[in-house]
Amino acid sequence: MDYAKLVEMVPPEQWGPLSERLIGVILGAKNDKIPNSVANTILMDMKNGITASKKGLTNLMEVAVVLDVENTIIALGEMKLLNVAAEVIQS
Amino acid sequence: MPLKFGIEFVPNNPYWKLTAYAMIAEKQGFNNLWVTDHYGNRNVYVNLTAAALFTSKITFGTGVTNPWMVNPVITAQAIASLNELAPGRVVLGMGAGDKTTLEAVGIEMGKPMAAVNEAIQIFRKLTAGETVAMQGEVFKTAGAKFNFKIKNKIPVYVGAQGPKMLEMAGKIGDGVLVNASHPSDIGFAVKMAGEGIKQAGRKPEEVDIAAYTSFSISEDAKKATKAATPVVAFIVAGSAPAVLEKHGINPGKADEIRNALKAGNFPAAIGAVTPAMIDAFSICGTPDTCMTKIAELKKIGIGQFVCGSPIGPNVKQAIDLIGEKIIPQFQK
Repeated sequence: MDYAKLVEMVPPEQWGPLSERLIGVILGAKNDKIPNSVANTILMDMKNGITASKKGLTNLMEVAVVLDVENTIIALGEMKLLNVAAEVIQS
Repeated sequence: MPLKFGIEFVPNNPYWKLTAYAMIAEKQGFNNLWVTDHYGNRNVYVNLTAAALFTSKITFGTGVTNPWMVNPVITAQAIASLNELAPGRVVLGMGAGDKTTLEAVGIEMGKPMAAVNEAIQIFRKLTAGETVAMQGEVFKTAGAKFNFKIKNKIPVYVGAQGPKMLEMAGKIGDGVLVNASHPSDIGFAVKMAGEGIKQAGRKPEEVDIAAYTSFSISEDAKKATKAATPVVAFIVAGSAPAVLEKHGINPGKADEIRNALKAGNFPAAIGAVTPAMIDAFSICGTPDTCMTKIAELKKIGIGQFVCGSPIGPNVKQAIDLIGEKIIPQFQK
């Protein structure tokens, strides 16, 4: 899946709220098996305040889908990002 | 004076989750981060190190460690090393430890008051650059000294529940971590710590009394209570009969919960928790409910309110709720 393309489908004004939702999905996921390098990237993005940027949101989207695809789709649906949710479901 | 807010995390997940929560808590205005120390979980100092590297304002420390599991000299070394990573942001939280946990690793918990007192003396001397030669009741050192210097004084919080430990905490602690949630227990703790403060000729403002509560917040009161219930089951199971009776809880009911937990029958244990137990041993509910209860504790005399486990049914949402709806009300 091209996560950067998925992010491009999200209106920029929703990047902030979506990043918060995805952080919630990631932290709430029962599955926590991600490589340390990926976890450190997310932590660095949080520290640098860039989770709502295109790069940061792309990283979050990828990790959220890997750890908890179901709740990622729910979050996208609740934010009315149905086209993005549909892309995730199809892939 | 504005009430300080602390938050407790149990390192029972990979380091990155606790670190992320620490960053969120800092962003939401929490002052203190407390990480529990239990051999069954991830190491407290590794988690504090990660939190130190990714935060810049929040004060953090052990919530709490004990004098038995690790020699106090090494505890002092770990805390002092952390202080190099985050100067002035580190505190030591030291309590007597949990008898059951210590027995599980073959450590006999003798003379808890002396052990805590001596461990803190060792900690303070070492972090002040002194050589420690002590012939204590519990610890004996013969010239321990650090080969590095600590520039600032590192505060020590004493974890306390019983009257004698509370009194000693008031005498020697820079802070007291009171493991309780109910106003009557906090009131008792403030009174006993106050006795110690008076006996030592100190001023009340020199000692930060923190209510280290079992806390659960949600916009949905039922969900908040449901999240708090398993934690309350463990608290009830570990409480002395006198503590239970003080809150009007039948010790037989506590036996029922204890036996269910021992048998691994968690649904039975959780099912036996009553509303009275929830009220006695946790602060949970909607933001308005929690705010009222926190305000009551502030009036009693606490300087810090610690949101302990479980924090809420959804931890991130709970931290955000506290930061958005509760903390600002106590900064006025």
